[in-house]
Amino acid sequence: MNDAGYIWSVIVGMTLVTLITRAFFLFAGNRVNLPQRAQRALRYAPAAALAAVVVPDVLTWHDALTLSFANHQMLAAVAGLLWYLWRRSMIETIVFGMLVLTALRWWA
Amino acid sequence: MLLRLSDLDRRALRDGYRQYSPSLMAMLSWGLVTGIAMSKSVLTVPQALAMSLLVYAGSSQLAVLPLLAAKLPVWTVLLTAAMVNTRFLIFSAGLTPHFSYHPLWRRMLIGFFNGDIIYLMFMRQPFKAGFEPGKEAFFWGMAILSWLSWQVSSVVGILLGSVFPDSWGLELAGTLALIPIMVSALAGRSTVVAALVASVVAIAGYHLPYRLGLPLAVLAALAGGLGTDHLIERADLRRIRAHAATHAATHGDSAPLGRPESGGGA
Repeated sequence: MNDAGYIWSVIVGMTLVTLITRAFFLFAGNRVNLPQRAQRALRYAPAAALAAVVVPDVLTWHDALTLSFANHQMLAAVAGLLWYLWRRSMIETIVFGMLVLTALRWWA
Repeated sequence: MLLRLSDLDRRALRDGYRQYSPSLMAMLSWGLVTGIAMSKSVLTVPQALAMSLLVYAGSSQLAVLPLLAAKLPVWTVLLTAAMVNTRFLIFSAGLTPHFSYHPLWRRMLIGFFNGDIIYLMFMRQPFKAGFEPGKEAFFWGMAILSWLSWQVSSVVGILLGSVFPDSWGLELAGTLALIPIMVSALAGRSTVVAALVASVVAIAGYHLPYRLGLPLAVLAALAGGLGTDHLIERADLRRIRAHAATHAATHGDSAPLGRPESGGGA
């Protein structure tokens, strides 16, 4: 499959994923009863999936796993995380993280 | 269609706009960041526009961008999107009693246009289950404003993104936007354990063949979360039993009702 075909199939697939997850019970009604355990698993799935995406992503620096201070992206993400824990603002988190990344690019 | 609305529905629609408007700035900036991140990713401009218009789910759009850059298999990408979207399953269960009298296509439409803020605001209203005049119009008031603000800001972001040079590393903005989403999803010990397990396994599985690191990390995290739930439950039970035993010994009556703390909690 070429690149365009790959991306377009992801877009179509994600459209279906949005529809299925957002309308799931509206669609299934009371016919589907989720067991307690599955309901709990649903609660931590988002945090788990986001961690599984974000952590390897920020640790990839110049196409390699880089767990060191040479990885500016990792430092900027940690700075953003700390800022968010302190200030609880998404926009400030993004701005601060980008500032740290830019500062590191200039001076480090 | 607007012409057929009753006065009451029209008022409810406006009420929906008003309820939603304090969240407009947040939605606009979130859309802008997502748009910029999409245009800085491997997506072409038409692909980014299509994704914004069709998928309409900010956090999963942002979450899949690094996966697309790494050319992960389609099923892995879709699995990740579904995982990030699971909160909507719970939302859809909450909306069901309110709209179950509608035909299927209408329920699907309501589901598709639902969102985090819309759901929170909707459930805060004193609506009863079943049909209630103005209830759906109120929902659509919020949903229309949400969709418009998201699409306008996303499109602006997509077009604006190409203006910034690649050397600014703006694709990190999308990842940074996911950090608050991830942190606010950490409710309770089990979620924290699940996220930690996911991070560790994702790093450990970084070099695995067939890009199996990500699905493995998600599966391990779910197992870790369920395991933690189980441990918390057992500890709670032990505490309740011990409490009941001492209670029975001193008062000779039956155990008080214990309320075991659950790991999740929204």
